[in-house]
Amino acid sequence: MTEEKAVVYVVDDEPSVRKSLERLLRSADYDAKTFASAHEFLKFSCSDTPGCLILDIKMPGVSGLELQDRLSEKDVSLPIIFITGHGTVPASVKAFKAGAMDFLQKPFKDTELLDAVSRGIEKHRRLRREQKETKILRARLETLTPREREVFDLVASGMLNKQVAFDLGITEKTIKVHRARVMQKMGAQSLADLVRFAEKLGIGSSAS
Amino acid sequence: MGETLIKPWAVSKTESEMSVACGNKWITLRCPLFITILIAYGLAAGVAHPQTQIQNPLENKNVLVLNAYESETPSSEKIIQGLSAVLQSGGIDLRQRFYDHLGLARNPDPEIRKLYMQLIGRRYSEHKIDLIITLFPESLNFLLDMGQSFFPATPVIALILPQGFKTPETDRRIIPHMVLPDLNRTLEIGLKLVPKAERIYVVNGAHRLDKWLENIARKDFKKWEDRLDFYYLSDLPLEKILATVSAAPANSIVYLTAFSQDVTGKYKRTPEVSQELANVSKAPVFGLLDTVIGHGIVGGSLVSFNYIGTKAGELALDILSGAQNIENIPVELKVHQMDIFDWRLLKHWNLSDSDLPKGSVIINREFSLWDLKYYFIGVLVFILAQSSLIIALLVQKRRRGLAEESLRQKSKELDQFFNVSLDLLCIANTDGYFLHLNPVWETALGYSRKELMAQRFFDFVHPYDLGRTREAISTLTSQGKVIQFENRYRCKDGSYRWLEWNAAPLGRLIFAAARDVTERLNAEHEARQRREELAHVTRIATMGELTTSLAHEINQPLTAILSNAEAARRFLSRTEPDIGEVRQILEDIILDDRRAGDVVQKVRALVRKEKPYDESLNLNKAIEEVVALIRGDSLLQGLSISMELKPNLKLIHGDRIQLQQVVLNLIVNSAAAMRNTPQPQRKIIVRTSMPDNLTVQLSVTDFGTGIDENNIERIFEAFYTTKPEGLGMGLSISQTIIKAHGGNLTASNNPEGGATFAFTLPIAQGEAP
Repeated sequence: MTEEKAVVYVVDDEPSVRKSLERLLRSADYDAKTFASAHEFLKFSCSDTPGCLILDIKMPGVSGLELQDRLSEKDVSLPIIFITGHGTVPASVKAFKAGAMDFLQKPFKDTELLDAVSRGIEKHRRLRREQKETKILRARLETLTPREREVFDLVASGMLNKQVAFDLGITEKTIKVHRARVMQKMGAQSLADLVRFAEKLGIGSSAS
Repeated sequence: MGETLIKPWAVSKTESEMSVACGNKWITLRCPLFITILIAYGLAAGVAHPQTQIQNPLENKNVLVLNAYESETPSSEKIIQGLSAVLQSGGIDLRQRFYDHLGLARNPDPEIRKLYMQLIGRRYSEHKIDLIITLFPESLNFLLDMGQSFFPATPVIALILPQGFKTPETDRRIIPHMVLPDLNRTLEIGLKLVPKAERIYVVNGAHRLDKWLENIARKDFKKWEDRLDFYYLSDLPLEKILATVSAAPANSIVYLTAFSQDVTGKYKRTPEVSQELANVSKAPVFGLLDTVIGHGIVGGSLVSFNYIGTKAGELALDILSGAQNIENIPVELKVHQMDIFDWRLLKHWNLSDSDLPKGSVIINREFSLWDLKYYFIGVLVFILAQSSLIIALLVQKRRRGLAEESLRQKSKELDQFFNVSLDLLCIANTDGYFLHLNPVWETALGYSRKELMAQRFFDFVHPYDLGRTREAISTLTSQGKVIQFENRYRCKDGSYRWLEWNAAPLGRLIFAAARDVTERLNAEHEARQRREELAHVTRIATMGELTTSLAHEINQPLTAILSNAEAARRFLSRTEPDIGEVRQILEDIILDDRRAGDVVQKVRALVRKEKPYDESLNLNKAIEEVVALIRGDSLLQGLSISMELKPNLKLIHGDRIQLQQVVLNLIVNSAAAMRNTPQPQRKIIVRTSMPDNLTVQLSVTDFGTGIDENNIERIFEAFYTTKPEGLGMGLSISQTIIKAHGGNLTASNNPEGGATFAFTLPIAQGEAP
C-alpha cells in the first residue's frame, strides 16, 4: 500500500527564510506550502493529508505560540516544529507544553529540519491512523445495548463475570452471553483486545 | 584845542555803513552790544590770545617828509598827523621817519634853497631814504630842482598839488596827488540842512590859492545863481567881511573856502577866520577844508588833510613792503573829500542830523541818555552777563560741593560693599597688576593682598588657562564691553580654585568680580562623568535586551542562507539538476549575506562608546535605522510600529547614536507601557513633523497605561521608575541628551489613552529658510 504524499506548511514573516525553507523542503521531495502570517494560515483550509507545520515563534500580529493555541482549539492535530531566532526558555517550555513537536534554533542544518519534518509527518500519520481506529470503535460501541454497554464497562475495568453478575443483580450465565455479544460487536478477539479498546475509547479505567 | 578826537561812540547813526576810519584815533564800534557781550564772555572764559612776534619787514626802511611850509601850518599838521599814525602802525617807527619843514614860502632865495639842499644831503648821507613824501607843490619843485643827486632812485609821493599841476621832466618816479576840490557838494548839503536859504556868502582870502578856490566856486555855483544870491567877499578886508557876515539874514549860508591873506595883505589862517566868522554870523557857516572843523563851522564835504595823510601813509607802506611793485603803483594818488559835521553847531543852528548824507562823520557829539541807550544796554548786558556768570559759578560750586559729598557717601557705601562682598572683587590695570582687592581674596586663595598685588595676576593663573585669560583681557581692552570667563587660580598651598569672572573695562582699568566655583564645577564634572557612564551602562543594558532581537535580525538572513545552500546542494545531487533553480538560490544567498552585513554594521555603531559626535543628520533616517533594529525584538512581541515621517524633514545637528538611543528608549518605554494592553491596540506611532520653520519634532505615541498624573513631573528624574526591573535612568538620560542638543523632551497623556513622548530639536545651521 502506497503512503499518501505529505504536505509541509511553513509560516514565517521573513520572505527570504520562507523561500529558502520552501526550496529545502522541495529538494527533499516534500510538498511545501508557505504563509507570511498566522492569520494567513488560519484562513487556509488544510487538505486531509499527513503533514506538519513549521512555525516561526516570533511574528508580528498573531505569534507562533498564539497560533498553536488556536489550532489546538480547532482540534487541528498537525505536529508543530517551532523555529526561532533565539531560544528563550519560557517560550520553548510553553511551546512544548502545548505539544510542540520540535524546537529548532535558527540557523539550523538541513538534516535537523528534515529529520524533524519526517518525524512530524510520521507522527501525524500515526495520529491520523489512531484517530481512524477510534472512530471505528466508537461506531461499534454505538451498536451495544444498554445492558451490553454496562457489561462492557465493568469487564473492561477488570471485574470477573461473577463480580459483574453480583453488581448488576443478574446471573453469571446471562453475563457470559452478554460478554460474548460485546466481544463480537466490538470485534475483539480476546479479553485483552477488549480492554485495549475500552482504553482507547476512554472507558472503564475511570470506573471503579 | 583844535584837535579832532572822536570818541568810540562819536559816530553818526549810519555808522554801520561807514567803512573808512578817519585816522588812527577814530575807532569805529559797529555794534557795541555784541562786542560787550563778547568781552564779557571773553573775560569769563579767560580767553587769552598769545602775542606773536612778527618779523617786521619794514625795519630798515626810511621815509623822508618834505613839507613846503612850517610844521604848525594847519594843513601840514593834519597831513603829518594822518601819515605818521599809519606809518607807525605799519611798522615805520619814529626813528625811520624824517621830517623837514622847509618854510619855502618865506625863503624864496634860490641861494638859500641850494644851501638848504646841501644841508639836507649832508643830513641824510648816513641814511638810506627809501621814500620821499612832499607836501605842497613848492617842496616837490624844490626837490626836483635842487636835489637831482639826492637819492635819485627813491620814489616820491607828491601831496597837495593844485589841479592841472605840470610835473617837471625827471627820471624820478613820482606819484602825484592832485587836490580837486568839489565845492558843490558842501552847498548841496547846506541847502538840505537850511532849505529856506536864499543867500550864500562865499568867504575866502585874496591869496593866490584863495583866489584859485574862489574861481572854482564861481564856476561851480553858476548853476545855482537863478535860485540863490551869491556874495563873494574876497575883495573886502577881513573886518568888512566879518561885518557883512554879521549882518547877513537868517536865511543865509556862509561858505568859507580858504583864507591866508586878505586884500590888505593881512595874514590870517583859515581856522582863525572860521572862528571869527562863526562868532559874528547870524547864519550857519560851512567849510571846504577839514582844518576848520571844530572852529565854529557846521561842516561840509571837506578836503581832509588828515585823510590825505592817511591814504599817503597806506600807499607808502604798500610801496615799501613791496606789496605793490613799482610798476603797479598807481600813477596818481586819489583822495576823496569827506562829509564831516560838528554836532554842537548842528544843535546850535537847530539843524537836523537826519538830513546829513550817509557816511557822514559827526564830531563833538554830546550824548543824551537816550542816545547812549545802546551803550547803557551794552553795559547792562555786560553786568547781567557777568552777574549770571558769577551766579552760575556759585551754583556750580555748590552743586559740586553737594556732588562731592554724595560721592564721598557713595564711595563709602561702595567701600562697605567691597569689604563685605563674598565674591572676589578687584580693580586691575591692563598691565596685569591688581590695584585693589577686597578681603575675601585672602581667605579664598590664602595669600595676603600685598602678596597678590606684588605680582602680575597672570602669574597666579593655571598654565592651561593662561591662553584664554590673556585672550579675555585683550578682548576686554579692545572691545570695551563686559565679558565672562573662567580660569583657575593657584592658592598659596599649591592647589587651584576655579574662578568665574565677570569683568568690565574702564579706560586702562579693569573692574572685575570673581566667584569661586570650584565646588560647583567639581560636582558638575562628577555628575557629567557619572551620566556618561550611566548612559553607557544603559546603552549596554538596552543592548542586552536588544541582543536577542539583533540575533534574530542576523539569524534571519543566516537561516535563509544556510537553507538555500543546502537546498542547492540537494538539487545538485539529483540526476538532472535544475541549474536555473540553483542560480536563483545563489543570488538569494548573496542578498541575504548583504543584509546580515548591514545588521552587523548597525550593531557595531550602537555598541561603541563614543564621545558625542557632531554631524548634520536626517532624523527620519536615524529613526528608520532604530526601528529596523528592534523589529522582532521580544519586547515588541505582538506590537506594531507605524512610522509617520514627514518627508523632506530639515537636517538637524547632533550625535546620531545618542539621538537614536533616545528614540529607542522611548519606543522601549512605550512597549513596556502596553504589556497589558489588548493585542489589537498594541501599536506605537513614531511621528516626525516641523512645528515651525526652525524646529523638528519627534513624537512616540502609545496606547498603554499612560502616565500617572501625579508623577508626570517626576518621570524625568533620575532613578524614578515604574518598572520593577528598571533603573529609572532612561528618561533622565534621554532628557540630558535632548537638552545637550538644544531641545526639550516632554511627556503627556493622550486624551484617547496612552502617552506621547516628544522632543523638539533646532534645525541645523544653514538649514534655516
